[in-house]
Amino acid sequence: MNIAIINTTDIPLTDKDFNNDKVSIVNTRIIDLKYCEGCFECWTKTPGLCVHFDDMPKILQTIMNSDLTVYISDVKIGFISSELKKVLDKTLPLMHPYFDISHGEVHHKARYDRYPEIALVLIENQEISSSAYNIIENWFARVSYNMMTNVKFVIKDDTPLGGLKNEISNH
Amino acid sequence: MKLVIINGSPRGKESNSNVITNWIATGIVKSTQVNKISAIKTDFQRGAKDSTKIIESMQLDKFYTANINTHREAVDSIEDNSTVVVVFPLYGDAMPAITKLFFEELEIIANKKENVKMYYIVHSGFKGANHCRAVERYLVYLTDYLGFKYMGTAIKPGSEGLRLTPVENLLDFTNDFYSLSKDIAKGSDFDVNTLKRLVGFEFPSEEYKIGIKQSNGNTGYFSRILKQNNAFTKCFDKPYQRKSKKSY
Repeated sequence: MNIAIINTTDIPLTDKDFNNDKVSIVNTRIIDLKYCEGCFECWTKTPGLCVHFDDMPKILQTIMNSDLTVYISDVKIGFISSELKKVLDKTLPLMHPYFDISHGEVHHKARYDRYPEIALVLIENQEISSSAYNIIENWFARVSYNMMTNVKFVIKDDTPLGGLKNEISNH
Repeated sequence: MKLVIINGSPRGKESNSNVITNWIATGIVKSTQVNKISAIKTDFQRGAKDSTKIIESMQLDKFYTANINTHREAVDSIEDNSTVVVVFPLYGDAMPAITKLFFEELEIIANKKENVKMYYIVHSGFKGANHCRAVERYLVYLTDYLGFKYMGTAIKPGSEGLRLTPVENLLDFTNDFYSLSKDIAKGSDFDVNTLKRLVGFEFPSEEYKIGIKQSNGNTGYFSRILKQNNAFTKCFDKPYQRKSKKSY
């Protein structure tokens, strides 16, 4: 199983942290990532590709090469960080502008034949209230609907590594 | 009354959110029976921050989260007794990242301002309000976290292309947004009936879903733009098709 780890915290992870050649890591804080401008040109001008050049293609290829993509995020004012949201906003070119029905709702159609399962590690810089956790968990399920996949796990931890290593060894 | 309008669209002034914020501002002016609509429109075409004194007792500031440099100024603009209206498009069933960044900036005034009222307007290109319910729950949490007063979230599905739609085709929408403006001007919660009218329905009808299946999800809108851009033949390209680890 190939695992992509998209680490949006400012604590960088390295290959040595996992010692597993099936794990690919991207530390988003040390690469160039622009905000999605909502121009839709990744759908209407260069299908599947963002027209604004930054390092996002590396993340998208890492995601699509994986069977499981784990996103790691700080929790800021009760939600995932803007840094992780920036990454997720820019996964738009992975989907197609046409529509499809999923979970009884209208979603954008899949561009690819398969998508990795997704997981979320929430870093507790301060204690995450149960209501905030539930809001994030509920919303992350919706992310999986949009990305035509499933949520493998959502965990909270006080470091990016502790619980994640256990989850990875379990899967 | 100090009114702070936040346009949370990454498209900034060229956004459907801007159409809505202008309706809200215009509606508030109408509600206060002061005929300075044209002055407001003019002011809103200027720089990153627009500020208009509507009447002696009302100051209106408008900011765009797309301009990160003004986030702190927008935060500083929120005073005791301010009314804040945040309008944003749904990105990934939540607020756009740039607007989340602005929310994070608000933390510095959490529980430090008295009687700040928060109104939210969330619009989405999808049919059905269900896509917006998860972020609506977060907005309730956020407002409480900040120590502000939650006044309601108006959800408007099917908003894509709003800014390109002739005004005469939008009269029902504009009237509903003017109604919301009256609520804001009065300082009352959003009217439940207006919210219901804007929402329309939670889930699209079975007929609509069958239509989506039968058309292969092609509503015509994106195909038309793809063809205009000579990109239709690449429509189903898969540039990030899975590769072996060695090759990337």
